[in-house]
Amino acid sequence: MAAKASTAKRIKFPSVGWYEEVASITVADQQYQKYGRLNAIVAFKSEDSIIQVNFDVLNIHEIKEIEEDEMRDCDFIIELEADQWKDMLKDIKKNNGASLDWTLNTLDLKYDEPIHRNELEDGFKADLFFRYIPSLQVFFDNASQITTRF
Amino acid sequence: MATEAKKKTAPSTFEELLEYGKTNGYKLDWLQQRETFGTELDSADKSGGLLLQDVDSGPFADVPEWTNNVTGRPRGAMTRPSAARIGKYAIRTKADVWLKNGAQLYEEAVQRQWSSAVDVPWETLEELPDDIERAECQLATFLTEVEFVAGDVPGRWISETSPDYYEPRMFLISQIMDEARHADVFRKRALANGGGLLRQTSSAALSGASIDSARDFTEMSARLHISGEGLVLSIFRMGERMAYNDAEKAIYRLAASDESRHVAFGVMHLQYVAQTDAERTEEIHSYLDEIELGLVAGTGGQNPAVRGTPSNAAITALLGGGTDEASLREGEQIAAAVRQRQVKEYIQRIKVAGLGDRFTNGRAAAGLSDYVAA
Repeated sequence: MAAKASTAKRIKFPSVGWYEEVASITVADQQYQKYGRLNAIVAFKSEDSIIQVNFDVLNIHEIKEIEEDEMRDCDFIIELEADQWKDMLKDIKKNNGASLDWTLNTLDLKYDEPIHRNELEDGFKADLFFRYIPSLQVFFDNASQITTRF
Repeated sequence: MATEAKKKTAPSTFEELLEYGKTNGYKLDWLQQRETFGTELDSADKSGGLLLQDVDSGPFADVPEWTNNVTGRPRGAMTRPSAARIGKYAIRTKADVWLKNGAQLYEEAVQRQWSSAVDVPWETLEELPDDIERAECQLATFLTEVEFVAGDVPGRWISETSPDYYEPRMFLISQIMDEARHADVFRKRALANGGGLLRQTSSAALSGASIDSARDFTEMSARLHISGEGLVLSIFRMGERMAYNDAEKAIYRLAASDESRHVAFGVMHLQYVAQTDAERTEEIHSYLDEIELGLVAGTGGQNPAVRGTPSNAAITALLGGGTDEASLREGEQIAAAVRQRQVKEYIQRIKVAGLGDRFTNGRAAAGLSDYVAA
């Protein structure tokens, strides 16, 4: 097992490759499929890096880097500081899934401002975050199955 | 030979078919060609399957501003003159019940159903300290009661709505299924770990008096979907912090997902009314005035941070991790923070609905701005 871990591919976060790797694990995840269809284009922002992911029914695709002004085309954005992403992903790796302090829901409640928003203040689209949280949490919890470098 | 003969006589066009019927004594006067006959759906092979919003086209997508359809005729179907008036629908005006994305929300509800029996890892329940178990049971009792009301209220309005507005009608049916599941999952939680249902909530507000006495669909939706469901959503979102095992986490997470659909329905309906029926603006503001009084007082369970209700005491104990003074104080602090977010989200939803001017013109309840400023 140790040998396997040492040779495991380390994927840089944030990057398109990282999201693609997690997406490929997640689309095959029975729990993700069980939670049902999604229909949301989500941007994940970590300082200058903005990665757009299309959660399209049970597929996850069209993963690409976008510019700041393209965030307006996304249903919602999840933004954390680089250290917060790092701590969240370390916690997920350590606990094989987010522990209480590092779930998306907790993070959204924890800070003065929510971690999610719609760039055009479209509340219907922003509220998709609440509707899809179980699925999004499965997505990030699956990061425990890869080796992330920062 | 027999096949060839059959081919010759088989009608190949709609007109030939009618003629064939007439000649051969078949009663085919009911058979009429509709505008959509022969139309191919280009979305039928989408990975998401065939959705209501994809199939409705032509006369079937034409939602009337006002309808006299009281016979149960599906929208777009041709009338049958002898059809009986089976429905005394009070809702026969589009603006009274409509919303953008109604079909989308319904389809999503159908797709994201879950089962309290098999989708909650009940095996992770374990023995808890007595005060925590009792708090879980009290909160579960409160939520079972809340969800019962939330399922009961939309039911009344389904049969009041003309089938021409089937999208909101069917969404409400899906909501009732969601609420039934919530009532059952919290009942199970109260009983599954050696506890039981505890004290009923005494508040008239919670028992549905203000929601169920709504005289109008929009009033009901504002009270139920935006106020009631929005506030329960906040409690469910706190649920992760009140969870002591994976079963409770799953319950709250899944229930919150459902609840946010119900809130979305209310926001989108209110937005539609605000955009299309300006004459009702003042009336709707008056509903919001009443809602906000309850929101500020919070004695009907709307405010998780107010003292004096069994359910809030339970929430405080669960958030703080016990019933000693230090734990309760910590629990109160967490509840107060969630309360602030709850109020902000309410304000944001009212803004999205297009009624946000009340927060700048001094009409909104004063206590709300105190929370936002805190």
